[in-house]
Formats: sequence, structure tokens, C-alpha cells
Amino acid sequence: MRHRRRNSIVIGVTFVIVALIYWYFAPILGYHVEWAGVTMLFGLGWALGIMSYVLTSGSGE
Amino acid sequence: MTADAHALQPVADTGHGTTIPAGGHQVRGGISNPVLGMLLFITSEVMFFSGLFAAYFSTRAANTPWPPAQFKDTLNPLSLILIATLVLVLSSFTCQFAVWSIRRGDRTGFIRNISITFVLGIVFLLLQAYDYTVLFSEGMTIASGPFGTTYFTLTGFHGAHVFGGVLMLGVILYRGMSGQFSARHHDAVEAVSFYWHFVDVVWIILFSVLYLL
Repeated sequence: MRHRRRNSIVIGVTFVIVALIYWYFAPILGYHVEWAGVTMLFGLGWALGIMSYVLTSGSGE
Repeated sequence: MTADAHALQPVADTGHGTTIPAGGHQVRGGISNPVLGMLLFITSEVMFFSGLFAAYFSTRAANTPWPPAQFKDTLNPLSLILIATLVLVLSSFTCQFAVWSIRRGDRTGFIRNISITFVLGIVFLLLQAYDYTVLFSEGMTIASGPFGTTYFTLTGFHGAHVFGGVLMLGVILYRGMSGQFSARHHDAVEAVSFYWHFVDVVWIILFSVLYLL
């Protein structure tokens, strides 16, 4: 149970970190920051965190 | 679920040679189907709202100044909307108190807390409807350019989700009053509480983005 929650959080935070890296480094590297992309990466982190919890838990019935 | 986690929860004999945690929603080997279905639904809703927020940020970045000059002081966070926000946050607490009550087998406490949550949900919707009329009177509508369109699309879809949540709360309130829930059987309560907390979190993000950012 605890492992599943921790792994789900790690997966979710991974996508948030990717979003933050893109947000921070894109202007430095001379690229335009697409805010829709940053937002979707945040959302993806949240959604995949839940999904990983669901998939590792599965249905008990 | 690990053996340790199982050990922390009281278990009940199902009569079929298996045991389940008394909490109800965490069944042996996984999540119960109602909670599983709700989590999958919430996952899809997360991406739905992410799409709306993505459109909002993209539109906002492409339109300066934001907000437009004629609506500079229209969205005031220290207004009725702050009360609506507090009402929704409070309803999340009462919803969780209801879950804890039914986990203990306290049906009276469950019905009391879920009734309060139900009423607070309706109050939020009424406050939002009134806030819309105030905005309309100030000339801000869904046709007021990208600013009005994104505002009413985001808050409107959220309001529709709150309305759906209020209907769910009404159903579990009715079922609770009919005695259909107990400490062992209350999966629907857990599932609806997840949805209600999700709707609350989305509103806090919405409020922060639309009124404070």
C-alpha cells in the first residue's frame, strides 16, 4: 500500500519535473515556452499518478 | 496491499473463506470496483480540466494586456467569490467527516455531515449563479472576447461538475437514510468523497489562476 502510493507520487512528480525543466530551460535555449504544453504536463503528472496507483492496485473483485 | 498494511486494518470474514478490511473500499488484492471506477473517471477529468487550463494559458499568453482594460477590476478576489470558495472548502471537510463517521459505523454522524455537504454544495452553486448575474450586469459575458470566453468556460464546466457532485451527494444521502451503508459497506461514499475532493481542488486552482494570478 505504502509502496504503491510512493511509486504513484514519484511517477506524478516526474512529469511535473519535466514540465518545470521545459518551462525553465526553453527560454534559455532560445525556444518559445508553450504554456499549454506546460499545463498539460502538470495535468499528465496528476493523471498518471492516479493511473499508476489504480494499475498497481487493480480490482479486488 | 502489504502484509503490514493489512495488519493495521481490522478485517471481517466474508463467509467465503476470505477476509476484507473493515474499511470497505480496500478489498483483498486491490481496490473495490466503485472506487476503482471513480478513480479512472477522475483521471479522465484531470485531463479534461488540464485541456481547459492549457487553452486558458495559451489564450492568456497570446492576449495582452490580461485582463483587458475594460475588465481590469471586474474579477475581485475579495468579493462574493471568496465566500463561495470558503463554502466549497468547508464542504470538503464535512464530506471527509462523513466518510470517517461511516467508517466508524456512526450512521447519524454520517447523515448529518453528508447533509451539510449537500447543502454547502447547493449554496456554492447559488453563490456562483449570483456572481454570474453581477458579472453580466457589469457587461462581462461569455461573448466578451477571449477573457470572457475562457472565464465562463472554465467556471461553467466546473459548476456543472459541482452540480453532478451535488446529485451524487443527494443519492448517497438518500441511501444513507435508507440504512444502506455500514462500516463494512460504504464503497459509494468513498467514491463520491474522492470526486468531491477533486472538484474542490480544481476550484482552488481555478480561483488562484483566474482571480489571483
